[in-house]
Amino acid sequence: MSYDIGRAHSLPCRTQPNRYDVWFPQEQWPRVREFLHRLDWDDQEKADLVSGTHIPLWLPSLSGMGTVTMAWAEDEGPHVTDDGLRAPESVVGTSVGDSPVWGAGWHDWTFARYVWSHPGVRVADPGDVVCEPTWAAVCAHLQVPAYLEVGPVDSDEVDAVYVVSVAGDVHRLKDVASVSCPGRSSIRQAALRGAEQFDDDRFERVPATSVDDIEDEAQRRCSQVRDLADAVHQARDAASVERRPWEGDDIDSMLTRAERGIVAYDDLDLHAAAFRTATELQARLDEVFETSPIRLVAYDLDVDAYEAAHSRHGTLRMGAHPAWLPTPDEGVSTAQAMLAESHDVSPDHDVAPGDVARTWIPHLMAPWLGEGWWSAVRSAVDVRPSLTVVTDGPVVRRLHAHVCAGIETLRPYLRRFDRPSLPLHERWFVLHVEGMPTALMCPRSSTTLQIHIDDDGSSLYLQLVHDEARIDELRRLRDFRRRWADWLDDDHPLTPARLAAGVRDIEQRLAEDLDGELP
Amino acid sequence: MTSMPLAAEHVATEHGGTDLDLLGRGGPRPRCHWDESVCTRTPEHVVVFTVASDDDAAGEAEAEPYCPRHYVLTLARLLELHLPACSGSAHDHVVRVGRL
Repeated sequence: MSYDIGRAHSLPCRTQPNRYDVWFPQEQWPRVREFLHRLDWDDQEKADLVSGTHIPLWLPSLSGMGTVTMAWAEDEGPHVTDDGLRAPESVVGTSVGDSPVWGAGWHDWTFARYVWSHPGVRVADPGDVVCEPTWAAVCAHLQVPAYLEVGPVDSDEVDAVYVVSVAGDVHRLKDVASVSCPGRSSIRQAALRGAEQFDDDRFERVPATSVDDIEDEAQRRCSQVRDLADAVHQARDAASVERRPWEGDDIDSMLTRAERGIVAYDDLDLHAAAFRTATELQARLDEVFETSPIRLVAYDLDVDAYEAAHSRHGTLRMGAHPAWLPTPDEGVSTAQAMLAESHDVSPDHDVAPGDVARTWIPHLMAPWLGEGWWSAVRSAVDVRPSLTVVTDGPVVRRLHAHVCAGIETLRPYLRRFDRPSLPLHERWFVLHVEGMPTALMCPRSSTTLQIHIDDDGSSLYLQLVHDEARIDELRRLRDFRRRWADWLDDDHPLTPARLAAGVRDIEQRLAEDLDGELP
Repeated sequence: MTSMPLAAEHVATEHGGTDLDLLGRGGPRPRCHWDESVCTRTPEHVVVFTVASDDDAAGEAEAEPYCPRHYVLTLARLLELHLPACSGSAHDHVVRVGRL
């Protein structure tokens, strides 16, 4: 007997083309963790895998298209056979939305080969791609067939394993039988991560004259995937409206916006776990804020040093047990408190800029206890740390910080690490809007950083959301956009009768929600 | 209660109350406040949202005028997108809906 161990979402990483992050529901993690322990991952990877709620996969997989379903045999536990990654065909499947897309097979979320070798791949609906960005990353890495297993289509037999470097050098696995040994996954991972500087004595370099043959093979197998990607692009292009005169960063567009009183805005989700270091995150933020006067700076938090200085309470290490954010030692004034419940600098509230002490309320916080932060003051788990900044040229018109930290109390512990030194769930980013007294503390695991830039870049709203909550929101958003597609398309005419019926229906639904009466 | 994102441009209201006259008389002609696209249709309906306030339990209110299409979408967005994820009720978000 078998059953699903849970559906997971995977997202391609923007900065690391071969990397995808797969999220599983929290309650499934004991099983997932046990399974992953049986796989052949290196220690750091394993530490990441078994401690968080996501799996980083360094693979040219197409699982970013939708949900991934893993399977589990109730009587036998995980299916791990002697090649380390096999599972019965019947118990593993992948689907996009609710529609099965690929035939069952363990390889669908681990092996590029599966995608390359199975005909008839299709996407039920590009709208099922619930998170950005997807196809750009998929297509980008398909330009370089970094790892290729060659064998008969619809068979697990492998005739040869090649690694094609970015520069076009081709290496072939000397002993093809070794791909069936437990070292298979480590070979594949090493190959994918280090293809540009490939140096493994289990491989031999293939003469340049053979490169074309290999590339032909890779091209042939990639072509189905490219067709798929093209189809999705076309579907999206067809669905998207023509570019409006006020859209874009060119001068004409900006002038049009100014003339018509229109401002540009942008919404973006970044997944904290997809960035190994603050330097990687900073590179992405610099792209996002390229045309904004606001500068958002990312730091790694030196958790060891921070905890050494705040040893009385709490921990920043989010493991199996909830973490409690450290609170200040006795005697520390509230103005220096670690966290603030809220914090305003706004002419509307009669608070002089710089008067930051008024609303500092230090208190116990537990990040991601459920799908929000738990607050001892609010006794609720719905807290989402956020930071709002509204500027007018060089002047800050409004600053609202909700569950943020004072930048000065954090400054001794801000770093730019070359590489991560702690397991994922113990790492934190600090996000600081340059010139502001407060900063967002962002756990690396389970966290989506929502960025909303408005008013042509002069306003910024940052919010931390639990990954699972965000995925639920995106699902609802997708369903909403489908249900109301005609209404959301301003170019789609609605008759007066349909508009009137729409008003009547929605007011009736609202009234039902309000115990029968409209306010 | 998580706060509902509001359009950048609001109709000013008195603290703790709503002055709907602001929407229809004097000053510039109100524009549909739908914030996902630029709408030039004439507003016919209004949604008066409560605004979360840390200082005042009663909160403030902001009146947002909408054309019929975007009035429907705004309420649908509240019912289908926001409320399922919010600990607050519809009562906590909306003071008044209806024709201008």
